[in-house]
Amino acid sequence: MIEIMTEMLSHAFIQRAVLVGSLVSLCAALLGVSLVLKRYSMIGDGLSHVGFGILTISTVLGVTSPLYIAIPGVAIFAIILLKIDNNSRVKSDSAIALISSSALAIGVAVTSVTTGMNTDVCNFMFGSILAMSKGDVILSVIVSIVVAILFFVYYRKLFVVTFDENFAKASGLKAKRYTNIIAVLTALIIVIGMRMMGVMLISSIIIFPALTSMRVFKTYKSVVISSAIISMITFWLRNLFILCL
Amino acid sequence: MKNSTVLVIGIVIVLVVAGTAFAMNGNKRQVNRANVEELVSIAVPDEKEGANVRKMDKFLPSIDETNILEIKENYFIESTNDVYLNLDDYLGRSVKIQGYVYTYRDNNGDICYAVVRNTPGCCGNDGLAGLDIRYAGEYPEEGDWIEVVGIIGKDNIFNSDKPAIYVYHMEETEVGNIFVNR
Repeated sequence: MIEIMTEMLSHAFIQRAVLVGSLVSLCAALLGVSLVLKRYSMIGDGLSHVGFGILTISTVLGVTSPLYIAIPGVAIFAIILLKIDNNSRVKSDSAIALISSSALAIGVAVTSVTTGMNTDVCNFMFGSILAMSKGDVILSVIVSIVVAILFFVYYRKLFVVTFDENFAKASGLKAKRYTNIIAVLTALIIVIGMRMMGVMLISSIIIFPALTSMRVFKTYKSVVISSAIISMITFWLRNLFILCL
Repeated sequence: MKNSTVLVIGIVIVLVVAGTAFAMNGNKRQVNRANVEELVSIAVPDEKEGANVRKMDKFLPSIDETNILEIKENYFIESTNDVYLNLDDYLGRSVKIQGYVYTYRDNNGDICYAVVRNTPGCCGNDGLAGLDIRYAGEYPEEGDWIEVVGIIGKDNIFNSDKPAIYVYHMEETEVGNIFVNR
């Protein structure tokens, strides 16, 4: 086992995958708890489809680093989705479904008309953690560290906004600002995580650790910590399993 | 959240980043690199083929045999893909690769040789993964199974710089797995 691990880690692309994967899993798990509690479990899925649409259009337009276009684009849609509450005419789950399926349809249509279903598109659809350029790795590491730092800096405020937005407003907290912070952080993690997990599976690293932890622990803090640990362990186990096959 | 918890998670993040960065730099420090400027590709007319064949301008006198990057069967696709994605990290490195000889024509109509293996593609096992080779001598026949030792350089193919192995030594070997799935 140690020999296999040593051999695996001697490859630069696996070292990069371990670095990015660990950080993205950790950040996704941290944010996942707030998203699941706010009943936005499917936002990861919706935003990843939006990301796919933007990435395909950027690629067709010849943008050399489509991730830089996708991040602000997805962040805008994340803010829009999190602004929709259950008193709106279109409910939040319907809004996610609408945006998600429309963005995917646009992405598939653009791909079909232009490049066709090539390797790049497949990598975004199903993920390819071992095919990351140095630029992608640097961007992912910076974004992950920023997300983790912001999460811990605003931890208490995010906690209040997650459980009761009305109470947060009543106690003088700028709830909208912190909801926007959750939206932007989620968008950042979704876009960089798409490279790793793919459009189809990215929501799993947000939902599964949080839901699993909620079955075992009862406080927000313990769920967040457990979620981060579960996410890291499952990432390592999954990769070890796949690479050893 | 308690400061100690934040501290522990912070330390984990720092350790992951620092550990991987150290490992990456460690790999780089140990490797001797050849001067890539000396690796030149030329188009040589070939009467048999009736077209130009892309070759190396001269034989390589030597390579660093103490630190050869071996592209193995178990990570063939990822290894060759990484050479394309992060070419700067591989330029000048000694490399060893096995596969079958494959030829194609570039945008000038020149014949280019490559060492490849079959991979999953859109319609079964019709994908290809591998690297171009440039050799000063006679190339083997298409389909021959060979082992190539050389230096990773670059060549302008389809109007962009792509990786190519400038061959130091090439020999026919026992046929390995033609199809690889990773």
